[in-house]
Amino acid sequence: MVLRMVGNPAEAEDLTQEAFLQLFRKIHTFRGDAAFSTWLHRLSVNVVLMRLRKKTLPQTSLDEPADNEDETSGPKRDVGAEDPLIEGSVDRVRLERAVAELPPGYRMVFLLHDVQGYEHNEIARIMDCSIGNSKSQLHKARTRLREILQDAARSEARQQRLEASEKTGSRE
Amino acid sequence: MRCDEFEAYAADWLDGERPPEAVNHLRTCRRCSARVAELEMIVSAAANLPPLDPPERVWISLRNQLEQEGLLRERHSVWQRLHVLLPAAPRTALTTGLIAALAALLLMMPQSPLGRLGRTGNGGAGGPEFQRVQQQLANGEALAGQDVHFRDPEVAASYQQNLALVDNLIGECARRVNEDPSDEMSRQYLATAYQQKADLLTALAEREALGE
Repeated sequence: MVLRMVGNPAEAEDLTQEAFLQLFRKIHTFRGDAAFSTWLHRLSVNVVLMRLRKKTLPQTSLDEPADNEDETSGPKRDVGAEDPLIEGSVDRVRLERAVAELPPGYRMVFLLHDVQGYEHNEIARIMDCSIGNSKSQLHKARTRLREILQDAARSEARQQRLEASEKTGSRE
Repeated sequence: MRCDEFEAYAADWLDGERPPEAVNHLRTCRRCSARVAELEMIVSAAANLPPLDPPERVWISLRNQLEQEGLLRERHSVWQRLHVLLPAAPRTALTTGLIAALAALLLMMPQSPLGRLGRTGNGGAGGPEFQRVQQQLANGEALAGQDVHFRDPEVAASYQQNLALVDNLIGECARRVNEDPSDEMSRQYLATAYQQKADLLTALAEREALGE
């Protein structure tokens, strides 16, 4: 999960080790009032968020994860505009790439809910936010993913058309 | 219901909440129903993403760090194991050879297994310090190959698998040390990897000495 959160294998290894180190150092603070896995994920998310804050994203917040990320989340779409369909099924590689393009707050909620299978009340505990916030972030994340996948589908279609026309041209 | 009004229901729709007005809208609106279908496709694909496990070196490095911080202790160090083995009469050439090899190994590392080997200034992985350790381990491994007859095939398979893992790790760390002999972290990983191999061979000697 950490690798999917940060997208960089070396950094993910470093952060995984840091998360488990913190787990050992803080195990005595686990009071048993939440599931152990929730506690562990919370630790991991905190480690990742701390790193992201230090590096590039000082705006990433635990209280309001990614609410301000709309500004950076790509082109706005008109609700009434015609949407191109994602062709075929969503394969693993395309989805992984698209997830990596999500803003960090969206990405974490999406990974916790749709990949790891956590409920919104658990995510709210892990991310220190409200259940409503978790739901809202998830919907925005899914919507943004769809846009990213549509953009990728459009680019692929354009590329295929270009290649087809080049082939036709070379035959003539 | 208009498409922009359906937007308010779209999030809950995927969580299974489907009020009649939203159902009616989807029946008549191709665009919104296609959109929901695509979002469902994403949710389904996400649920099927395989878990990504960290590589073995993360756990080795973590264990190393935890031991250094005193948060985790080896069940038995090589020293402790030899202390147990030495008073007993060695049963085979293997135990005799291994004890000699491991004792020599420990003498090369008087302060700690990571002490001298882990420090820079000893050249690359082909430097004399590492070479001596490697030679002692090779002696122990050769003895194990000659004399150990596993009674339990699962134990044999597990030993071979662990040996292959630790050899791979040694190979990878040695390559990194050779690339940059001043990289202390790689040197420490390599020293730890040698320590693990010594541990593995010591465990083998214990089994043989105890007749397990």
